[in-house]
Amino acid sequence: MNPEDFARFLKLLSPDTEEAGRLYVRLQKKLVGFFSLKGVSDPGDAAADTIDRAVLRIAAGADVPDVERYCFGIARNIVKERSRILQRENSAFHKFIEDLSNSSAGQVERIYNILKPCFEQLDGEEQQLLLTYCHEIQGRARTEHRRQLAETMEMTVQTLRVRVTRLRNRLTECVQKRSNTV
Amino acid sequence: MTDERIIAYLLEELPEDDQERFEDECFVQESWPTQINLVEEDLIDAYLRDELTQERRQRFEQNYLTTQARQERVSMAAALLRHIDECNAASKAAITLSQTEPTWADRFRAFWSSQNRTLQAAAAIAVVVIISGALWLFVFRAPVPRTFATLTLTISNNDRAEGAQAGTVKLLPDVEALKVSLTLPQQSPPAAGYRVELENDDREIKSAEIAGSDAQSVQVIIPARQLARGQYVLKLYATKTDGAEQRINGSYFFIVE
Repeated sequence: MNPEDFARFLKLLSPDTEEAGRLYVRLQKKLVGFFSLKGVSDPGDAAADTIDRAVLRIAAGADVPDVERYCFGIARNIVKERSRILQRENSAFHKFIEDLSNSSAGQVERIYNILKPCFEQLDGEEQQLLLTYCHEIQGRARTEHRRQLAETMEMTVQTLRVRVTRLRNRLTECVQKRSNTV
Repeated sequence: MTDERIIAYLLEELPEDDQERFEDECFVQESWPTQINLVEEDLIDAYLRDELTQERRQRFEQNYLTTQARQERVSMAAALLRHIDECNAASKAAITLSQTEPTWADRFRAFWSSQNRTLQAAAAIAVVVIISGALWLFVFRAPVPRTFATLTLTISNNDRAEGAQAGTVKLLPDVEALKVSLTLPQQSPPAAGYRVELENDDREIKSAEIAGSDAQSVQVIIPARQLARGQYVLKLYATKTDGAEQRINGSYFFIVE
């Protein structure tokens, strides 16, 4: 990417360099959020691809009154492009669902074995929080269970959910790291 | 943005215009809404726990599970829920086992009916306090390690900087804790109890859990997660019968490779 083109892109975000930097980071994070929501495997790369395309089109003379919206439009197109490719390659998808109903499914079994040491790396309180929060409770009883748990921990249910999600994200990162080294 | 609307979006239940409007609403916010991740996680759990209606289950499989990243997310959740269910089942089995004494209920009822109201109130408060304490311990206590690496150490009067003889141990990923047997010096005085301090390379000190002791040694258990690679020192303190504490001269050294 040409540095001058990129500088022009930043200037469109804001004439103030510092503010442009902040808006760029914010835009990048939103794009990552969008691509994650759409189930794209590499949301960071897809976000970078979006910004690259926007920079090039602006350099080529595209009229862009709202850079964020423009990037978001490109991001949507990238998702469409990728989903077209996926539809062609998606023959393994039904096999995945069949496997999932079998508790010894290969992928789940592999993750399960890597997950155990990751789980043990969490401290005692974190482990107990996951065990308690994710305990199999159905329907309305679960809502009450979470409310009581949040009350015990002197926090809101929303904060509790965020905390659990962060723990689960940490486990996912640990499993991904270990998967790469196994 | 309600949970229900997020689910409807993820399952592609919204008309196309609404799908796009939902995305626009997310995008115009100052930061990407974290709420979406939370709801998505609950949705995946509900699918795995078989809590979705037949229609939603179908939509989940046909409209949500369409990318590799999402399939991996579901596999990860499946593995975690399996692990959690197994741990919880093990705890439940332990509780059920301890409840197989049938005479306790009878004894309690007999005791209860024989007391006056003031005593009943006091007893009720005591029971609530005890159950709360037990629940707290059950929910927040650290899990008991099941796989150990072991090490036997003898005391050294050298300083770490002088290159004292140190035991070495390698902690494999499946090891949950290190069990160390500290051989007591020949002339160590009789003690009513012991306390052990664990010091790492950065001179950070933590207390180590005593697993047991006899006339020759003191056993301590250190969770593997507290042990990064490096050199460690264990310092032993004896509590005399009069309650006074005395440091046992010397230290125990070991290296985690």
